[in-house]
Amino acid sequence: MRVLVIEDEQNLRDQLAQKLRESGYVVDTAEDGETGLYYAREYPVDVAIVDIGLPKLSGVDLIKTLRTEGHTYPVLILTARSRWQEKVEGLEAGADDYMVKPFHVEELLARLRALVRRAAGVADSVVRCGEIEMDTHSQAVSVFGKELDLTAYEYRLLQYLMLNTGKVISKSELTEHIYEEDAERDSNVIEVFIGRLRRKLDPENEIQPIETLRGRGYRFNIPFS
Amino acid sequence: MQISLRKRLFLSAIVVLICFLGVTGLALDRAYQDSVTTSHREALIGYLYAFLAASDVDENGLLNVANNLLERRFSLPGSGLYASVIVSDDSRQIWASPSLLGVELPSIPMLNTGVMSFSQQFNSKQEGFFVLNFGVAWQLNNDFIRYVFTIAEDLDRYQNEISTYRKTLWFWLGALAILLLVVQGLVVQWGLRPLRKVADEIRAIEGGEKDSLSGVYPKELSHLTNNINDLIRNERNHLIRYRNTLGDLAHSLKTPLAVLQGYFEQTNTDSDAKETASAQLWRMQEIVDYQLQRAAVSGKQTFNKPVEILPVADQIINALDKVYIAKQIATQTDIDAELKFYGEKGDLMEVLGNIFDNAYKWAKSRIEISIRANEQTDKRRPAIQITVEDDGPGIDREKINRITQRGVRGDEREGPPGQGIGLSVVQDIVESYSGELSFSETALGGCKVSIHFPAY
Repeated sequence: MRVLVIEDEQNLRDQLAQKLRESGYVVDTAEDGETGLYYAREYPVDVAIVDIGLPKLSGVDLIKTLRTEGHTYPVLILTARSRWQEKVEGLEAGADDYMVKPFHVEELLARLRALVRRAAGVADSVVRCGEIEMDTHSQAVSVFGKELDLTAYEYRLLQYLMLNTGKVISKSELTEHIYEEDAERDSNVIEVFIGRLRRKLDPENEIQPIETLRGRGYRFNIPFS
Repeated sequence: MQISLRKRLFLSAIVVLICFLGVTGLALDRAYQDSVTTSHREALIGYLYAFLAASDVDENGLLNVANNLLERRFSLPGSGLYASVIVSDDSRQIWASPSLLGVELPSIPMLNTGVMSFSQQFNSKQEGFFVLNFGVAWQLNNDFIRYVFTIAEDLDRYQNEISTYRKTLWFWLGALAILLLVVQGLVVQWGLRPLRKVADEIRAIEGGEKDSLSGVYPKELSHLTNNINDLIRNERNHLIRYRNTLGDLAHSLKTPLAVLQGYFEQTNTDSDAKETASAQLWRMQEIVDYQLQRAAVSGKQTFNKPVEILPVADQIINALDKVYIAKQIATQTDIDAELKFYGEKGDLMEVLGNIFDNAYKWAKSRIEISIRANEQTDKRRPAIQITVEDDGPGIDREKINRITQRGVRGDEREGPPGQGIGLSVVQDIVESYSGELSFSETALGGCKVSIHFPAY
């Protein structure tokens, strides 16, 4: 999952980015509203964290612009002023949730997970597709009730595929959503990961969750249950 | 209770009118009486001379009066005009006009020759007369006989004249007084019209239909209205400035606090010192939060525009529906669309935002919100009753007691950290509007928050 953090306070931005990376997100950061808007338009963002009091372009205006341009990914606003006026303005502009500074990072992470799931149409913190169960909170995955041992990258890959179940996802899209900007982008790596994931999920080749569409990408084939 | 300006002006006009018209009336009455008395005197003197001319004394000292030369009224009994002649020396009446039959004149004084006296006198029956006496000496055989000639007239005619005059006089003075009072009333009306306009405009400002006193006023009032406008502007600007400053302060304080917090959370050492520092940091953040919010509460203000409650409530409910979308909460609202909150919009948002948010946070699936006017009031600004019920686990008694303790500041209300300050802020705002916040149980199973803003 790729998260965009737009926050002008450098310490907070760095802390957030570090925490988010530790939790398995691909993180982009911007320090003002204009840069933030540029990234928000150009990057394949899954969820954005936007501070309301940004230099150059306010968070509220940024969100309004994004929404009128048709970007629908969830946005969580951070606000220092805990007055309701501001919260309501942010939510009316198109944000999906808010957090008042200061906040516990753990709570922010939980809210982000909920936003990502909600965007995919899942309300529960456990995502179920047939016999595959993914607990987005503990990041545990089990098949037929048996827990799997996945690496961080495998988990990210599976989460992205599962939350986009039924959709065809190209290799480059997968790369963008699970890799940092400067990481190596070799599409063979994706193929390797997909192969490992298939073996771990479906060693007996019974359920065949991930389908390969030649030249187009991959598709997770089990709908939410 | 001060007497109204209109009453003052009216009362003073009445006093002035009574004094002025009363004195005028009395003076006119007096002058008329004098002139009528004088004219009667002149008339009596005329009769006297005619009488003297018609009289003659023969050698025996008897008085002969040529009756045909006299005014006819002397001959008619009870005509009101009388004549008599007495001899000075022994007060013996030697002649009386026929009209004097049965009439008693006041006693006649002895007068020296050539002396004339005129006065209003009363006889023993208290009947009043104008009496003209004239001392006369008649030469008879080298002797002088002295007589007193008396012409008298009763007061009937005089009194008729006076009373007719008085009726006319006081009728016209009364009419004049009424006319002047009507004119005075109109003048007061006209003179006080700018004041009434000020009152109307201030009412419109309180009602939110206007921003300032915009009418053109007379010089005497324009100072006052300009000052009121300044006051209104200052009150509004002051609040905006205050709030901006506080907002900036909040912003500049909170981010460093958040960074510190993050630092403590990142440090992996699990020591008591870290725990304590972290807990104190949260407490600090809450105190900052609470104080900033408390300071931004404006409370009841005189020149506030009223805020329509329904749109604000809808805004907040829509926002919360979005945030708590995963909980699928059914919110039932019963909000009076006409109802207005006479206070600051920010205050209303804080109150509704915090109590709605609380309900959403704790509710399992249902919330009922009702905002209505209390009907049994005739005040301009009706009392407002807000209730929010949820089907959550209900609120902790201990916490309620802490929050609703009157006169205790939120940051002094002891409690475990992390309890949040929302309800304390609500309590402070509600108190600043002389309202009441209370908690109770509800049929839904959870907590019922009631807020009552009194009418005023």
